[in-house]
Amino acid sequence: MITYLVRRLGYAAIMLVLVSFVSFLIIDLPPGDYMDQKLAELSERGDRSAETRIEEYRVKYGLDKPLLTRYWMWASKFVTGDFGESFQFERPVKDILGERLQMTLVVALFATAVMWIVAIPIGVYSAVNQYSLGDQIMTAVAFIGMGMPNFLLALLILFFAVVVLDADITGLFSREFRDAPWSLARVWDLLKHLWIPALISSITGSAGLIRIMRANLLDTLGQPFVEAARARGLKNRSVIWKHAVRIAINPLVVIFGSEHIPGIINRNMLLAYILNLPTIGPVFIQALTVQDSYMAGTCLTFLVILTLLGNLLADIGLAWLDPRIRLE
Amino acid sequence: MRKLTLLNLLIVLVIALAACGPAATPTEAPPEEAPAEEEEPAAIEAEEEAPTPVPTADIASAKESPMLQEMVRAGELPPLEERLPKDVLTVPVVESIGEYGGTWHHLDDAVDVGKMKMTLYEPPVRWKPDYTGYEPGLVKEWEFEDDGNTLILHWREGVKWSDGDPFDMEDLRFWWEDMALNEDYKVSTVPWYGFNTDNTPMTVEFPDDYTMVMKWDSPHWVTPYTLAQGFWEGMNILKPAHYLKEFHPTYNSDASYDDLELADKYWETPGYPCVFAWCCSDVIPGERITFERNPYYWKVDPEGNQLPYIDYVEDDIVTDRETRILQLGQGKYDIDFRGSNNPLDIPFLTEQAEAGDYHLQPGWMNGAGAWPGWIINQDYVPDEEIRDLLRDSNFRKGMSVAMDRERIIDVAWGGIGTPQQATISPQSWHFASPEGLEVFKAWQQADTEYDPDKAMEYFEAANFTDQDGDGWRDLPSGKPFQLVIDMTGWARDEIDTPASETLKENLIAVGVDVAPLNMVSGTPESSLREKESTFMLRGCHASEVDIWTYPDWIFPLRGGGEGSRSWPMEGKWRQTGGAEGWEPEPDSPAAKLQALYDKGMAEPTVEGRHEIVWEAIKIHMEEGPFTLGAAGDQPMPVVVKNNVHNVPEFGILGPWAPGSPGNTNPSQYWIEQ
Repeated sequence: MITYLVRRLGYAAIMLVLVSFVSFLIIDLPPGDYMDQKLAELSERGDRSAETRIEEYRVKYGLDKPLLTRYWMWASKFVTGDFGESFQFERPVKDILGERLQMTLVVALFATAVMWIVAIPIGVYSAVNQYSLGDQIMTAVAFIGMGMPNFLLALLILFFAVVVLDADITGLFSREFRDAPWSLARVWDLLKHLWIPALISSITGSAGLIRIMRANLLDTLGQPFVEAARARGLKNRSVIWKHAVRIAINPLVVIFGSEHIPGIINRNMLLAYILNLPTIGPVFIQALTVQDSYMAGTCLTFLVILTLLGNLLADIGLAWLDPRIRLE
Repeated sequence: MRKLTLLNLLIVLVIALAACGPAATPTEAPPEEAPAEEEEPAAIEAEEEAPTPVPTADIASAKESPMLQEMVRAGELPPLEERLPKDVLTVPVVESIGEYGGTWHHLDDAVDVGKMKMTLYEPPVRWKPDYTGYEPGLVKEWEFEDDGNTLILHWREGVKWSDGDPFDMEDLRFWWEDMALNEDYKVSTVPWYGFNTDNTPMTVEFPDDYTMVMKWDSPHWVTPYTLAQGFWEGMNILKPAHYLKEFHPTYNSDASYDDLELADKYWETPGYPCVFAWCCSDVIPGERITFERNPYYWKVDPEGNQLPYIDYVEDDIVTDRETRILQLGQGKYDIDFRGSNNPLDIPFLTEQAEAGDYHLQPGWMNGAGAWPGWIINQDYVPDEEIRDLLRDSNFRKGMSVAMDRERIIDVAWGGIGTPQQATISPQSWHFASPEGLEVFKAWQQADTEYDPDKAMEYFEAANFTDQDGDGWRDLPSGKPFQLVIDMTGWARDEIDTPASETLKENLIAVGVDVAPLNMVSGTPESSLREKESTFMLRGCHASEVDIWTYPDWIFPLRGGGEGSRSWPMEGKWRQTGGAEGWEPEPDSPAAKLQALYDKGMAEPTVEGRHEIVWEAIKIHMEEGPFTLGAAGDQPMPVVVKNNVHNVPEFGILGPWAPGSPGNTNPSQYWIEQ
């Protein structure tokens, strides 16, 4: 087991270096750099003093140096914890990401939890009552959700909430609670705002989970051991949940590891952008759009770290869940 | 199984019905007749920059806000007479004397909070609230000596920073010597107006605590006005020396220039001493910045009450535009000027006004001279023949009269707007006098008639005909030609794209092969085409109120990507003193305009400079157009809650140079408690 882990971590490290270099390369591909765009924006506004400063900034951020040099400068500091400075914010990337980390985790955790709590039972129900009315309706809704981009749904719900319900649902806290110390009321306010990304996430994201759960469970339910369990007089609920689902849920563990863990950053990016949530997603999008190299590079690297970690955890989790894999 | 198919059919039907339902039609905004220009009273003499006349108040009877009275009673603050300066500034109120108190919930769209800075607007010299000229701010008067080579600024005496430290020339000296002239500190540099003709910096002297003398080797009549532009000229020289010295390596050996850079951000450093109405007191980076009233603010209202009336300003940063508009519709923000920035949002905001308890403030215009417009590149780099064609005024006039402006207005603006050629802002003070107005009207109407036949005549005159019989006009040498229009989104994508597409149709109708090129606005790629001068036509939005502080719309002075409009290479030549770019040929429009600019900068009187602008505009009319324009000014959505007072009913939001809304004195806005 230890050798397996060490080997995996070794591969992960190599992968990380490769991917971070490629992403840095790609971010830099469009002609020009952040400073060109900044200068143009300031000139359009009429700021004539900008041009004298822009050249200095370029030198300061090393934008006049070749790609490899810049990558090496950034990568060598990355391992020590210095992620470079964001051109837009003009502050260290570490500070900006650090400030947003807590809320990113809260939102991701909540949204994922809701998605799973919604998807698993529906998947099980769909499998057990195959082709029933309930199954058809749930499937239809799931597919509509899957076909619709989540930011579109967000805009629709926002519009509806504002115009019809007159509710303030952007951001994570209402105005009164933004600075308040943590209290039960504040947690309740947070939940009142969190249900929107959670809802949108689950409508658009659970279709996959539902269908896979359903398909696997159907397979498992057809197996002889289920019949044997039933024959021995076990309650139906116990047969399904304690025995069949436990087998059927294997692929979903993999999905959780490989998609939902890196999804902490990238799953609901556009959604967070529109709802103005203080998470890492919107910052990442902005950084990519304006070629804020160090910020975008750092976010991408963390995304890759999470992906590799997620996969590793999924593999371990699978081994733990399924003795067949462990003994193999 | 039958039940199943039936159910599926039902679901599909429901969806189909929902999709085919009538699309929501926005209710018609009350037809806003965008006035072509403001009818100003005759000849604005702005030679003496007198402040808007107001009865001055007596410091002894000055009053302060209850919030500050508390602090004085508790001994945390000195009494009001000790906080106000000797040269207190009295600000006229728009409607009524205000009540103290309240929080202004303010909206911003980016981390650098440009809109908040416009609200704080506190330069040494200010734009007047009615845009007719300039008036004293922190600088109470100024004069020139030496034929304009020397400028003497007299600053207000007794002004204090928000922490009580006196504001004096030590602060300005610190800025000039320890920051601007300091080669090691890259963030603060010598401002562009601070150079002599040989590129050495000007000399700055401080004969006493409140006087600053700037000396050049050439006249700089326009510099006091330059200090009034936006928040990037005048406000950047106001540095609290006593606070920043702690971070400056020359005064504190433990500090580095990086520390200084981090600390020197007045808009997001809590506790940074400032001379504005509100100073930064709390920051949640990237989300919200809170500003609190400045107890040492040096302005009072006509009855002697210390300003500002409003206690706090909370600036929310919301990056997504649609979210901002929804929030404005909810009435979440008390006073907002640029959250939407798009006249097409007026119907939605008007609909929501009652529910949100606000109204759209009438009288606020964009101040656009061209919305949309297209810059015609006179210095096209990749191909000499195409460059010659673009330079041929017959070709440009042909394009101009081939344009169906009414149709563009219908398509892009829903029918609201006036067709006109590209100009600068109608409200510009250059057009305030009757003569100026005449020049403006002529410019507005130059080559604007919709006449495809005349267009074809112009093209014939330019030798721009179809020589190979494929239906498209070719270059004079016979090479096929395709006109590329860069849709940059500068004029806003919702306007630029339909307008450019319509222009394309108009030009196709007279035989020009056109390819619109979609640029994602705000990306480096878009600005690179400007920098390298590889664009032919470039979508734009033109507005400028004082051409002498921002000459680029009329005079070619700078290179591509750094402010140039139609002459990236010839402007670059001028900007680099001949090192790069192309020298304008004698008697070319660029050469004539550059000469006129020099003449204007050497002209001591305001009136004289107005006349030079008119001469330059005549060149644009006769040898132009150098920028094509389809439509002009539009009303802008300004959201003001119903319990807010003293927001004026006239303003210009397009050009940032006048510092709006800052020039309308937000310190005298007040909120009913």
